[in-house]
Amino acid sequence: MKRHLIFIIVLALCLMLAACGGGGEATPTPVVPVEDAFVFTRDNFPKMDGSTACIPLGEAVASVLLGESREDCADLVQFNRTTQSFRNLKDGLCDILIVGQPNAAVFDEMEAEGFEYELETIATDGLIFVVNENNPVDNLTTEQIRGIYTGEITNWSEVGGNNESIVPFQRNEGAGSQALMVKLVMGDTPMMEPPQEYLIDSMGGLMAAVKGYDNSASAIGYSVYYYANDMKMAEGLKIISVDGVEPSPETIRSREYPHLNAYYSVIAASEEEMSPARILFNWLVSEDGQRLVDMEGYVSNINFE
Amino acid sequence: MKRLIYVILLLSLLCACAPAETPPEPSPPAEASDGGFKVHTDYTNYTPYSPPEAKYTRLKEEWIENLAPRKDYGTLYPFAGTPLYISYNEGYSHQSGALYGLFDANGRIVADPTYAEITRLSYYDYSTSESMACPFLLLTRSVFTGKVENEFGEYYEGSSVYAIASLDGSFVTECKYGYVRGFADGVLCAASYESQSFVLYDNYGNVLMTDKDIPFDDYWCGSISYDEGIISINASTSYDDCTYYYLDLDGNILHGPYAGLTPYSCGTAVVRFGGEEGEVIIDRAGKRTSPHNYSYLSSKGNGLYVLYDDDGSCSLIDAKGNTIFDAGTDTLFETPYGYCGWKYTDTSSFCYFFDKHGNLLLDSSETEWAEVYDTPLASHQTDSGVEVINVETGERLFIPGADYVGPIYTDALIGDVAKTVNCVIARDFESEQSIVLDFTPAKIMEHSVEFAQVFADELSGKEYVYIDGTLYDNEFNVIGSYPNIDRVYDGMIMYSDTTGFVYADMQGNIIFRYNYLMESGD
Repeated sequence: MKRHLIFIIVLALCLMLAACGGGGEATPTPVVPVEDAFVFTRDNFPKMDGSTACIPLGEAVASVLLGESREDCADLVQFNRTTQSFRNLKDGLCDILIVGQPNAAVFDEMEAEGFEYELETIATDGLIFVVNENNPVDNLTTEQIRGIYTGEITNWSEVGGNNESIVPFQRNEGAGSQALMVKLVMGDTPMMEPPQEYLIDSMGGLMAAVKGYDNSASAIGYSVYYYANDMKMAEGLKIISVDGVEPSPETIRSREYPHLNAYYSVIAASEEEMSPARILFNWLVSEDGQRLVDMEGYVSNINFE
Repeated sequence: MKRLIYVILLLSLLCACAPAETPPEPSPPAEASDGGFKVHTDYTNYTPYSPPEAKYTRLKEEWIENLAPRKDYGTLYPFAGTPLYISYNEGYSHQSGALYGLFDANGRIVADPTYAEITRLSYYDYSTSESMACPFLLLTRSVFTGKVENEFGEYYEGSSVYAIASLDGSFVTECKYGYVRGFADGVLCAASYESQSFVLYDNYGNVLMTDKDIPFDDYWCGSISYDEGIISINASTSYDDCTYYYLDLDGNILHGPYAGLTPYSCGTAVVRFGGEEGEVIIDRAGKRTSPHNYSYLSSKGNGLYVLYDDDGSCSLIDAKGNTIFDAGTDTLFETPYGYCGWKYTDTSSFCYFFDKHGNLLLDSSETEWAEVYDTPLASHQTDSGVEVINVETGERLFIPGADYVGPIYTDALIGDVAKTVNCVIARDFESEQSIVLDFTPAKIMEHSVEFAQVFADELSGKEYVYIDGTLYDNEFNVIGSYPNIDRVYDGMIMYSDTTGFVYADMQGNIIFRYNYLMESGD
């Protein structure tokens, strides 16, 4: 009997422990709609478009506003990349963008066609630089990075590293991080010719394509913080500090980190006050919307920590 | 004691039912309010984003530039690396593809994504009129040779080089060949089409012949064919008359020269003799098998030939010159069900369908039926839709509103084993809707299709149909749902998402995931 009692007490303790240990995963309590709250449905949900990096946020927005799972919302998050999504908004093919910084030419196009829009920053990202995790260099100045990408600095020993040639990888023109690199770091300084290690055949003929990271000890490249960190794209690579500032949600939000980039929500200025697109536009910068942005791993406007 | 037990259990259950003291973090407010609007939120089914974990191991820690031959890989599987982009038209960016690598049956990456393309090598089979897969992978690498600037802008110049590898990687050549041509029983690898340096391998990677065995100084590798154990070659780099020969694998001349020749098929070939008009059928010893010279012969690969007569009409003959049937048409093509011929007048064209024995199945001289290529269907367009007939069974089906009925081919990426399945697609251009038809017998299988695609397993050749996110086998049994499908390989589904490249089995279990090294799009 004594053994049975010990077993039952242990079982009960296990049950109690299990009951107390439910806080591991964030599982917000389902809510009951209150009177006058705007309820999004599949019928009135605005057609979204935007950047590839914003797809997770788009799924989350649809999920919490429609009460569906991310997977079930996937059909509502058919994003067409940054620049094209702006064109789609202009042409009335979508109602709202969740989007990164587009090619500047698209703003000229919108202006030329008299398309007026409203734009709000919903999150901030940083252009980060990555090297092989065995590379002893932990920090570069913006000037040094510019020197590497103009071809003036060619050996890691010139910036405190090993005596090895620097292999500076670039993305193709058109990739989001390439546009950021030009805008935030290079400015008017032309970048050196990228290493054309491989080409790829297509119906259009032969065209240049730059190899992605090979993760070699002498390589350096760039991406955006969200991809490299939150989307775990930088496994095996080391994210370095720039101008002595390590990229993190804190240094990005405080704008201490030097190379920043915003994510926006964008609607047509002609959207009516009560239109679903404008309601969603406003909600994304509300405390509630910003909390979701934060939960999704983006650096939100509001610090919730 | 029993009471004590019940009390303990009751207490523990009560504890289990009570809310946790610490609320889940972060906890959104019940209702948001901004700009005067309250917005209803429901987190019941929400889960925070979690990027999928990569799923693979590596043969070596360091970057693996080239596939190295090994006996222990097992089947090799191609995978796509980080997507590549090109930008044009003032900021439009389009995905241009990816570089490809290989992993083995143990999920180990054995070659990193450095190849511009990895496909099955193929050859053209006359007997089936289809591309057939060779037991080799064709590894393509593009080589940058220079940048050109002219009045039209800047562009890059380069060329492709190839390696071949057995499907299990036990045999791999260097990636240096500019010309690779597959045959049923081997593969020829040369520096270029115009070179005089080559290696001919059998299907196991053994060397059958090299350029050192060729008894001529003047030839192009592009003129060499290897069929039924016999080499055919043009011993000239110009179009001189009478320079074509048949050789054995030791380089001995079997017979020739000819003014023209075709590869052997079913023990016969077509040649042109110098100084003679027309074409002749010969056997392996070079002896004529047909009594006449013909104006033009086209081998069907099954021992039969389409004869294009001087008057322009077509008939089917055997190797001895016996007429199988006289089609009387201006053209005659082999199809999966028999033969199809067209007859042209000054104002119209008419289609005739024959079975394999020459029996007329359909005469379109009164109704303008047209062949639905590579199927036993013919279609006839009217103002209100398209009528379809199965020429083998005679069944008819009218599809109101349709503008077009066509075959569904396998994805162009595969190419080497391009086939159709037992269905066609009918398209209404105005509503931009399609339906899928099964043609044996002709009936509608799926309505309102937005997207239909056919895949052939690149190893087994088994065919699958992918319609609006659902994959079917070639008998239209549902296999499963997939976000997209790039290829089917060895019974596994290959697809990509914004995060990486995935191999899943037919049950949807992810076997391999390679996450892209950088962002996949802007």
